[in-house]
Amino acid sequence: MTRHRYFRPPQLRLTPGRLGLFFCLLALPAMAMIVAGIWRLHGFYPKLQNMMREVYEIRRVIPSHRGTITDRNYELLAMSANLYDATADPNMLRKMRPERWRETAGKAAAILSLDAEEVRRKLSADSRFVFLKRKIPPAVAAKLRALKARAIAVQYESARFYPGREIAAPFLGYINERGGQGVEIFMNSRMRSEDGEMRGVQTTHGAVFEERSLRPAKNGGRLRLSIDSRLQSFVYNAAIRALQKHRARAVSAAVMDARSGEILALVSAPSFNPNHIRKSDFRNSGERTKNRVVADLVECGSLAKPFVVALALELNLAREEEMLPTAKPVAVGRLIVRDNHIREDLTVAEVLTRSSNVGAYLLAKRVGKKRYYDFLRDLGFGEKIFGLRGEAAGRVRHYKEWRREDFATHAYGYGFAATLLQLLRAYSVFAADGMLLEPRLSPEGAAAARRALSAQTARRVRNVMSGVTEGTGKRAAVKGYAIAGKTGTANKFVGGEYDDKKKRAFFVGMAPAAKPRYLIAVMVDEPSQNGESGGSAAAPVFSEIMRRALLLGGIAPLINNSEKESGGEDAV
Amino acid sequence: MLKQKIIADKTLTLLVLALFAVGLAALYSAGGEEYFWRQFNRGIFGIALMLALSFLPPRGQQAAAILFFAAAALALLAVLPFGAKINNARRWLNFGAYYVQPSEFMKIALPLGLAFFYARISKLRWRHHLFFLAATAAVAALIIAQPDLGTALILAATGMATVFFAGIGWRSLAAIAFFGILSLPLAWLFVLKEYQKKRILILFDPAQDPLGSGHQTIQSQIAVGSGGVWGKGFQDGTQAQLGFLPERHTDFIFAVYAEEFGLAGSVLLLALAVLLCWRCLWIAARARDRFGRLAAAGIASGFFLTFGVNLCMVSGMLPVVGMPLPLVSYGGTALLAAFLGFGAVLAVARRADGGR
Repeated sequence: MTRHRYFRPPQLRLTPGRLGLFFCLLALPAMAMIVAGIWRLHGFYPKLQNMMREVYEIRRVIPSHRGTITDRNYELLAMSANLYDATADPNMLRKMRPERWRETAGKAAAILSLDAEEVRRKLSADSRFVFLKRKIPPAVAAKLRALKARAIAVQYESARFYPGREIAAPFLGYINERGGQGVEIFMNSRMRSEDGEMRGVQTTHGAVFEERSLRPAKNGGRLRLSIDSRLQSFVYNAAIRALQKHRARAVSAAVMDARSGEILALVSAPSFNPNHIRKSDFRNSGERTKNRVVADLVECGSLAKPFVVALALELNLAREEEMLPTAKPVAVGRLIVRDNHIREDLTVAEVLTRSSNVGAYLLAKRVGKKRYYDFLRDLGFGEKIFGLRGEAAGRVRHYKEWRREDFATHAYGYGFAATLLQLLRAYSVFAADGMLLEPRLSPEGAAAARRALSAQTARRVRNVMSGVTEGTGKRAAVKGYAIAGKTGTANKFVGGEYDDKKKRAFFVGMAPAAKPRYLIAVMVDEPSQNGESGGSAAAPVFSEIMRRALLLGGIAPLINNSEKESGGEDAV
Repeated sequence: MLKQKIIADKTLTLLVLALFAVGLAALYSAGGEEYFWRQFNRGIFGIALMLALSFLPPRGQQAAAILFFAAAALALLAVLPFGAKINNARRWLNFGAYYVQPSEFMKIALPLGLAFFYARISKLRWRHHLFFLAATAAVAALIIAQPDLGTALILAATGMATVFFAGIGWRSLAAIAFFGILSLPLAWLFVLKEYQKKRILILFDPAQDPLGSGHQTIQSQIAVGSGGVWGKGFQDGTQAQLGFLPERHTDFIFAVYAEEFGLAGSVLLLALAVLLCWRCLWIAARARDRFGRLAAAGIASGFFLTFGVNLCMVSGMLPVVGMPLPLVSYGGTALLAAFLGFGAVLAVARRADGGR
């Protein structure tokens, strides 16, 4: 019976009672307590949830896209590219072990192709936020993200890109985080986009799910300009060639559709690359950045003469073939009005084609101060056109302030200041049969025009102006087409007096002369070589541009150089 | 009894299987198919082992018990120098493809070992109880050294419960309780590590460190609380499915379960556990010898303590300790240990009065 030693029956206080005690006093109450605890959490958990929400909440920018700018044919002039900024949180980085820190910094530097030392210096700053590099392309941003360094982040940035680079830069302007100019700013409300904001919750695994979109992203609208980038590009290159040929300070030019007032090209040279703006671009009060077509105030010189002639013809105070005593200088007060290159009397028409100051003054005298002043105002001088940033209004002093000498100089374009675009607008009366066309930047919508001259007078003056290729503007001629236009050369007013050495050369003209389709204004500022006058510096540029414009417009050349029929209509 | 029943105690077996099934469902939701099938296969093996163990005759039971205890004790000793270091703690022995956590086995082995020795003492005196308490403390100390305070405390409590069932005098019990409470401040000052203290403090103010120590308990409380009465539905628990809840398929699986099945599901789970505990104790009460009674009662108390502590931890009533939910949490050692334990209880049940 040795087995019994092992298997004794239960003894002593090993009673079932203790088992029951355990069950009743521990197990059951514990379970009741747990149920109560869970019950309590039903009411309590939202508090915890709110607490964690703050911890997990992330706010994200929903990127929006600024509207593009296109030309009339939907060629892109400005677009927004998705770029990124590489940022870092140095204070968070510093919590890493030094060797890991150095490794991360080194890797980031390699990805961003930055100097490793420089990155380390940036990351040593006592700060929560530094830019490592701005405007990095998406591929680089993806690589940086793949580093999985929590303290290094990429943030979305919208960057503006201008495929045309310099060709329209002063006109289109630019926009960046510091500011901008040009159409970009002028039409900002059209193109402006608003980033949205998203509130999300990020899990510990990094998964983000959207909880709520606080603000949707609003993309900007597309802006279609009346510019024809083919022409714009050609005009820019022509301007640069002229700039170099004449060693000029600047060249500006504008092309207008003479039927609608739409601006087809607006060039200011020298220009700048809006994709890489440098500080030097802004030197000399925006030498390269300003849009000279609307910003430079000039005295237009002989360009004013057609206004005088037109007014005299309109008022029947003169006839085209009437002879004027232009051979001799005329003294007006202390001023002697003279023509150095004219030794004979000229007809009214010749006053224009050969550009006689004396003739212009004589005609102005017939018209009178008030009527001439009113006409200049009617032509839009002294009044802004678009309201672009930096656009000048120009100035025409009231005729009651004119002294006798002032009246004389106003007749041949001194004493009032205008922009090249204002001159272009004023000349539209000749191109559009007496209607003053309001220049427009949009190819959509209706043309705005007001009558400033009778159609008959406008045609007469235009007809006279077509003789310019026989006079001062021989080099403005476009082979195969009849043009009408006017040269101008003005001395610049520098330091209180007119400087003989510093000139502005102008040419404003239109073609085809019979029914103008294009109106072009060219200004060469301070040409110093290879011709300095409107006829020698500006007219050739006009000729080049007009030729290209007519070709692009599909205007058929005249047969036998006759002016009988000219293409107002598009040829296929 | 020529022909023995395959299932020694139908109620207990059914309860174990039900609890395991609930665990599998929760695991499917928390960890996906991969975890589900691995646990399922282990479960099949465990159930087979449990049923096989139930055939052990009384002598075999005791021999197996002492061998098992000795093996577990050796493994616990071995884990200190040779264990795999995971998360700064040596709790696992690496057997090639398998990681085994000896302290999980010890939860079963300790009551079995104590029962073995108690069965051999003809006249119990208070010094015997004291000796067994000291042995329990020694085993707990080994686990504290890993360090794994939570398991050590559960183990100590299991040992103490076994000693209590063995009939320790009420006066001795009162003295132990007295000194135990006295030693708490000392433990705080000298035994507890910084992170352990933090976990205890977090209990009172989870907002202290919402991303660090408080994170897990906050997330599990949100999960449990947001489940409401009826739950969000199977696999629809946002806390777990969206990855907010760490350790969701192991120690914190109850949070997943409670979020998806709500208070109703939790009560069901608790009821299963309580019934399981009750059935083990019922078997213990009808056991024919001291070994059987102590073994069954000890294992039942160990199971229940672990179960309760885990639920308290997940619902934010106790500090976070590494403690799986028996039969439910993913994990091979714990699952195997649980089936071994219930196998031992079933073996006792076969010889119990009710078995006749």
